[in-house]
Formats: sequence, C-alpha cells, structure tokens
Amino acid sequence: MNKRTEAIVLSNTPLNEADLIVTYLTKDSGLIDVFAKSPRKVGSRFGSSLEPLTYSRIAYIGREQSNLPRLIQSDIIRPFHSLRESYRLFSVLSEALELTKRILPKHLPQRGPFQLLLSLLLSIESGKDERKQLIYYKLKLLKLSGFAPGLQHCVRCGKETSRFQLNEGALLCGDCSEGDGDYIEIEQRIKGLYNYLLKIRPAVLDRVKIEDSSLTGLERVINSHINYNIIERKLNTHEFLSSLKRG
Amino acid sequence: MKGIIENLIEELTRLPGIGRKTAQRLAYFIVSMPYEEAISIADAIRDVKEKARFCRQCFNITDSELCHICASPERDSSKLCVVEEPSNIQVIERTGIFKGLYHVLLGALSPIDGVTPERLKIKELLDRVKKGGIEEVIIATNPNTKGEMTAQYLKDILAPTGVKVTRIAYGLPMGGDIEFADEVTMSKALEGRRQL
Repeated sequence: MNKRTEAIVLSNTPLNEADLIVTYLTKDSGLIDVFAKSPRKVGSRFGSSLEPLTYSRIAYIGREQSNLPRLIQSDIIRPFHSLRESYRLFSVLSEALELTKRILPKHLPQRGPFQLLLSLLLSIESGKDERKQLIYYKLKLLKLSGFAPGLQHCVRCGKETSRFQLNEGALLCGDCSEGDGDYIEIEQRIKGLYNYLLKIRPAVLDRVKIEDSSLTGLERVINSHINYNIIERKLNTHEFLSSLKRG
Repeated sequence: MKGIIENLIEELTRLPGIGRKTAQRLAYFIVSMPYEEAISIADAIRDVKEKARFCRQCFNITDSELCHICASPERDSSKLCVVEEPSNIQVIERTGIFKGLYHVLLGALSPIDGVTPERLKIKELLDRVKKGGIEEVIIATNPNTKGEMTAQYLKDILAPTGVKVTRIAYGLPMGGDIEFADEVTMSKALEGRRQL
C-alpha cells in the first residue's frame, strides 16, 4: 500500500550503517515509525528532510500496521530550521517532541495532536514566548490523549478542594483521600488558569498575559501529573535540561 | 548440532549490514581462502578485541596509551579537530589536509535520548584547551541536529578560554546536482559562499 500524508519529524534513530528509523506525527495516521534507506549518506535524496521538527509531505509503502513501512519520498513544506539553530530552544522543544512520542499510541488517526504541534512550532518560530506555548501544548496534548486531570472540585464528593492527589491524578479532599499518598496543594488562581487554558484556542493564547509565578505553578502540577501517572520513567529531556542548568 | 559452516554463517550475520545471504557468500569465500589469509583475519579480530582501548588524550581507538596521532611530533598541536566518533578521524585523515590533533567526544548531545554533556568527553576537551597551546578548535561534528547542537554548546563553553572556535563548512556534496538540494542544505551553501 502506498500512503501519502503530511507529517512532522519527532525523532530519528540510526539503524545499521546509514539507515534511519524516523518517528513522525502525521496528519492522517497519528504517530508512526518508518524506515528510511541510507539518508545518512552524503548526497542522499532525503537531504535534511528527516531532521527533527521538519514539516514535510511524505509517502511510504508497506502496511500501516506493520512494524516498519518504508519511506519513499519526503518533500519539505517548512524546515523549522531556525528552531534547531539554538540548542537551548531546541532542548526546550525536545520536551514537547519526547512527550508526544511517549504519550500518544501508534497508528491512531487523530488530527488534533498534529495541528497542535504544528501550531506550537509556528508560534515559536514567529518569536512567541516559548514557555507559555509549551505549557499550553502539554495541557492540550493531555486533553487530546485523555490524560488531562479535572481540576474543579473533589472527584469523589464534589467539595471545593485545593489538594491534588498525585496517585489518583485528580483533586481529592482530605476527607476522601485514603492514606497518605503524595499530593500537592494548588492555588485557586492556578486551577482557574488551568481550566481556562484547556478551553481556549491557540489563537486566543497570544492575547493572554500570564505571570511567571502562575506559569511555574502550572508547570509544577502538569509535570508532577505526567511523571507520576502517565510515563513510566522521567523524560530524558528533563534530565538534559537539568544538566544544562548545572552547567 | 550445527555444522561448522552454519556456525560461521550465523556468527557473520551479527555484523552490521550483513544479512544471511551475504554471510553465506562470505563463509564459503573464507573456506576457499588460503589458510594464512583466513587466520590473519581471525588474528586481526582477536588483536583488536584484546588490545583496543581509548587514547588517554584524544579518545581515539589505539593499542597503546597514546594513539599514533597524539604521539607524533610532526602533528601541529595548535590545531584541534573535534569529532563525534573515532571512525570520523579516518575520513579526515584520508584528505591529507589536516595536520593537527583530534579530540573524540564519543557521541553527540541529544535531549530526547538523554545524552547530556556529562556523558560525552566534553570536560576532557575543556581541560585540554585550558592547559594551553591550542590556538584553534575546529568542530567537525555531523551536519545534523545533534551535531549542530553539540557544536553550539562547545562554542559556548569554549568562549571563556579565548580559543578560536571554527566549524567545518556546510553545503552541497561534490558530484551532486543543485536541482536535488533541499532548502536547508541550499541555504547553508549560500550562507557559506566564498569569493573566487
């Protein structure tokens, strides 16, 4: 079967002497891995189109559900090269790429995550605040993949509470929580911000002004939830960013 | 029990790029080779596994404490070329143009794979430069995202030492055709143009 779609490169992994396995987030088939023959050779027809963040029109053959369809064409639509030129910016964006790769199931046709990632890259390329954009991306990705926690009231009794029970991935008041599981307190303004950001479209985000302290509070909740409930081991990118901070 | 030929075929398929058919062809070729030549291959493999280690200065692969490049008094020690893997050294050496010394990082930075600066021989590079005597560091990491990221990181951490940091040029491959160049390669080639 010959399939054509638009896709963004999330990562590439060397295989054998000069081959690559490329992980794409596609417009029509969700997350896929494809085999690319010899792109690492100088003069390869794939050129730089298999580098992370590249937005291309691709064609591949092989059954979609099979382990590795083969890439036969990749034409760049937008290279997003400027986002790879700064290692600090690329490191921050790598968090989005890694999270997408770890959170989404393979071969699930769903356009939302693709449009969301494309919108993130376009926004950051146009110079918008990457921290705010990244938090919004993570929140929306959690929502689209069904992992976003409800932050309105206690999920058991409906009482107002600020206690986010990590092992439950939800708000749980002191009366309803069983035992002494880990939890974090969430300020009302962070809850409000979280619920607001979940509702708005990317275009509206540009007009929203968010204080640094609120971004930090929201980041803490989202990252704790992701690390505790969604992924089995910490994101490699977090370790990398910590390493850069240590100098 | 497996026959000796079948055993050799299976062992050869462990090598990268060697499928069963190629392994079979190689195995029968080895059978037909003169005894001395076949044993010479076996000895070379044994030697490399028993004696190969990293050069204490540049992390190239060698069988002594210093590799032949680091130990040579004829090399220009004021120029240091930084590469990702020991195999990259051979490619640069084949050009015959570079007469300086090397430093092998043993990889490239990659946030998504968790390859942090601590996992590479970056601290050792910095120590070498701080010791003095090096006037130029040429960064010859791969022209891809990981290699470029590593080059930028090295530029930043080497800046306080005052050493001149250069990057190998990007552009179109010799024998290629402009018609088939992608946007990024072409823009890099234009940026790196020089006066004739």
